[in-house]
Amino acid sequence: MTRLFTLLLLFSVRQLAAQSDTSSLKTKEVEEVVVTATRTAKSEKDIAVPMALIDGKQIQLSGLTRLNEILAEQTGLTLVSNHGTGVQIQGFDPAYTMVLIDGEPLLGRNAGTLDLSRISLRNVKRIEILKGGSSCLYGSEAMGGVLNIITYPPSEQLTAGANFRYGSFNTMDLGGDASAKIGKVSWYGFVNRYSTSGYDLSPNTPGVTIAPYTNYTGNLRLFFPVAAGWEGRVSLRVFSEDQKPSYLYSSTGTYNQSGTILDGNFTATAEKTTINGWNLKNKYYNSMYKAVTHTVSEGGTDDGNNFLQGFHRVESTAEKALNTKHLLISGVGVTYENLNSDRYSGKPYFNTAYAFVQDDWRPAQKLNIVAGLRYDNHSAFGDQFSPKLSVLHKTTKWLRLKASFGSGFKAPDFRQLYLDFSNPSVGYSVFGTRNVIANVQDLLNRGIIENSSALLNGYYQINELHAEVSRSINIGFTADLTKKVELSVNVFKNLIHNLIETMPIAVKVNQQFVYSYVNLNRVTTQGVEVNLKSKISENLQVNAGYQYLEGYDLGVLESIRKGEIFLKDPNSNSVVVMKRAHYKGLYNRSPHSGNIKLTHNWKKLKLETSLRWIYRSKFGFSDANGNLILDITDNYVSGYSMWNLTFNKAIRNFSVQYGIENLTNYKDPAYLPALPGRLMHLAVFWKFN
Amino acid sequence: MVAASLLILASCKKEENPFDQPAQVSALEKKISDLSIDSANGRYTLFNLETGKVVPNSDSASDNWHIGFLSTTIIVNSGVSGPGNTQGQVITGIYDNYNEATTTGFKADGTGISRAVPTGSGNGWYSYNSDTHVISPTPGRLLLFKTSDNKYCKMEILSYYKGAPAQPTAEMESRTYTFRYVYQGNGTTSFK
Repeated sequence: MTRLFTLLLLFSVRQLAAQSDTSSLKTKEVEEVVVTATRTAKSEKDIAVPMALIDGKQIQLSGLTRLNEILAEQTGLTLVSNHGTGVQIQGFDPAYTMVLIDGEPLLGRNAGTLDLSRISLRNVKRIEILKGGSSCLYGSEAMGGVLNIITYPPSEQLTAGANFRYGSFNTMDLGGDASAKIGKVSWYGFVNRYSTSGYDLSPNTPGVTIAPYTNYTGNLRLFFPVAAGWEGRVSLRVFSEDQKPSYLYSSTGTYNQSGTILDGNFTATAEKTTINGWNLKNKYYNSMYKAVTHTVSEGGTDDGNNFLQGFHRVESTAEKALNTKHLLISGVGVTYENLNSDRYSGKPYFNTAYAFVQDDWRPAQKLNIVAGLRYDNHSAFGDQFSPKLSVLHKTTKWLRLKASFGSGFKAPDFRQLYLDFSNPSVGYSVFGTRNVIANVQDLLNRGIIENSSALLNGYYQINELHAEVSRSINIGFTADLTKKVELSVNVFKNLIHNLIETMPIAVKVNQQFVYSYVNLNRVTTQGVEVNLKSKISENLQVNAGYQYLEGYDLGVLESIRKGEIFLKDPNSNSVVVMKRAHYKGLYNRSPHSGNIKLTHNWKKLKLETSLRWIYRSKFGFSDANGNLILDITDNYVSGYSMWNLTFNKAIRNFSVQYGIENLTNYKDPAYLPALPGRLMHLAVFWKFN
Repeated sequence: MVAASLLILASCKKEENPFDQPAQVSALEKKISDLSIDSANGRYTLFNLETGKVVPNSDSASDNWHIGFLSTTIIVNSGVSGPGNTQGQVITGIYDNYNEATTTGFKADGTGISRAVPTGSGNGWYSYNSDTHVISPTPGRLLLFKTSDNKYCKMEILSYYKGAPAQPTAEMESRTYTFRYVYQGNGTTSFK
């Protein structure tokens, strides 16, 4: 009803606007071409699935240096810090978002989170964010969405650039890039060094919040003709990080902690467009991720960890336009993933074979239907079919209606299947489902678990893990309210089954638990995303965004209906039957979030100003009364907002930048350790072309 | 969009405090605070419901104790756990409102999943929070016991941490039970 009303309101606004417009000619705009939504180059205006775009200009003006920082300013994306900083999309945890660089996946998740601060923004041309289930094109992990980071390609002309940035906490970002064509080979090279002294939000307690670290990123890309019409492309990216030793104080003692990360990505592509219109692409991708940590106790023993993950993929795709109505793309591929770690049993590996097909069909001038299907065969859990259907209707010149259905899945990972970890200081153990039976038997034999009476009910629930599966529906529209104002609305709903959870399965003689994994819950997330883009004048652009989000555990809703869940006042111990109104959904989801961004260009002074306001409403942090679900008695993090301001002044080939992030110095050390307070920076850029 | 936001705001009306009702406390109720479980030696801390006192573990082969604690596990003196015939069960309900004991559903202790008080998060008296690693009594879970001489008892575990803090953390001293119970010594099923 509300939606209908909003739509009616919109139509009348549009009618008024149309009447005031004397000229019906549209101003010429540069159409943004995106690749993530269909795996083919397509204008952003022709995309039916919900997606967001961050261009290089916006990145440059923001003054931000790492991927997580710029994502925090986007509508519907929320940063979550848990073993690194990841991003929540449509209410999905970071583990369910696929992170790609130029279309290929990054490795190195820790407890599900891929730390986005590993990715420098300096060579990023564009970031494409796809929302909702997208396993149809990308396979496992693309449940909540896909982040595709598009980096600068080689250019034909000689170009070069350099930058130096210094800011709060001795944060230094320095690097440069260059591109040219030598003979038939065009190349692009990029280097970056980033370092910070870290910070400590609670100086009265021992240890620091963020320890100092330094990292380097390098990228070399080559484009060259091979033979017989084949174009060759090679890319090598290397990332290395060194975390300086810092003290960690825990209930079991003091530890000196340090670590290194090495991440490499290599791609080789051969592409050809045949005379009869086939576009063929063969690609080999290899990635490795190595993390070494040292946790040295006072006694000198190192409870460290070596973690080495490898990934290989060979893929062939073929694309062809059949008459003017169909654009077909199909592909087949195989992947091999392996892991070598102290904390895993054996040397686990996965093989995946997959095939996908997609038809981009234009049955009528105003109508575009994209239908796709992907089949994955995974050595650890078997088959998975992922369908997708999206419809775009260009109803009028100014209105585009969109609807899409997508599915996603996440295969059980190495951790959930093969982890073999016993914490030497605290004494608990976690085993993957593939080795838990043998490991528990071993603990029983060694008397570490006394006897079978120490096995908990969870032990008897251990089963083959299934893939976690989601279904997403998105319905929305984009309307050019006037020549200068664009409004987009998207309503989304996601249903997720078979979520994998940690479960205690046995008690050891030392009274610590043994844990494993089990497919357990069904959850749903739903909401509305609204974006408004407005070019107020030639020099002033205002964009605003808002997301309303709800997320519920469906099992909990059912138990509440049956009156099986109780609410306890943690202070008085008084207990009542829980009602629906007491249940506040999933933890760590803010119902309201939004942003307003102003960009001003004072052309005469060559001064560009960017002011951004980001808001996130109150969200559930932890359970306070033992029912393990978020209710009115639990711990919440207060809603907050932040202002970020950046000035850019161009002087010939240089530009100078001054920026302040978190102007009002908002801090909440107990709940938001990732917020260090106000940050300032000064940067100089040099560009030659 | 404005209209939609207004509707959303309007639907978030203020909730009244659900804990307003004052509870009627039975005159028979006993509260045991900070019963420390010495689990280092792997032996159960045994407890007599009638006296409200700990029974030395050397008496484990007798009928002098009714229930025993070892970390999160609670046993009853019967079946595989002891020579007595004290039986137990876990039911869902509100302690303060549960005034008439059921006479069915009691069972002697078995191993693993067939214990009178089942082990494991969510099955028996506690929930384990995998984010904070805190063990909390599950709200609305009551332990019922029927002793060898057919006396009924209802029990609610209040805390697993020393001092029964309202907001325990995993670092706090645990394996320390605070609980309240009503032991009806006159042989009836009434807890009033």
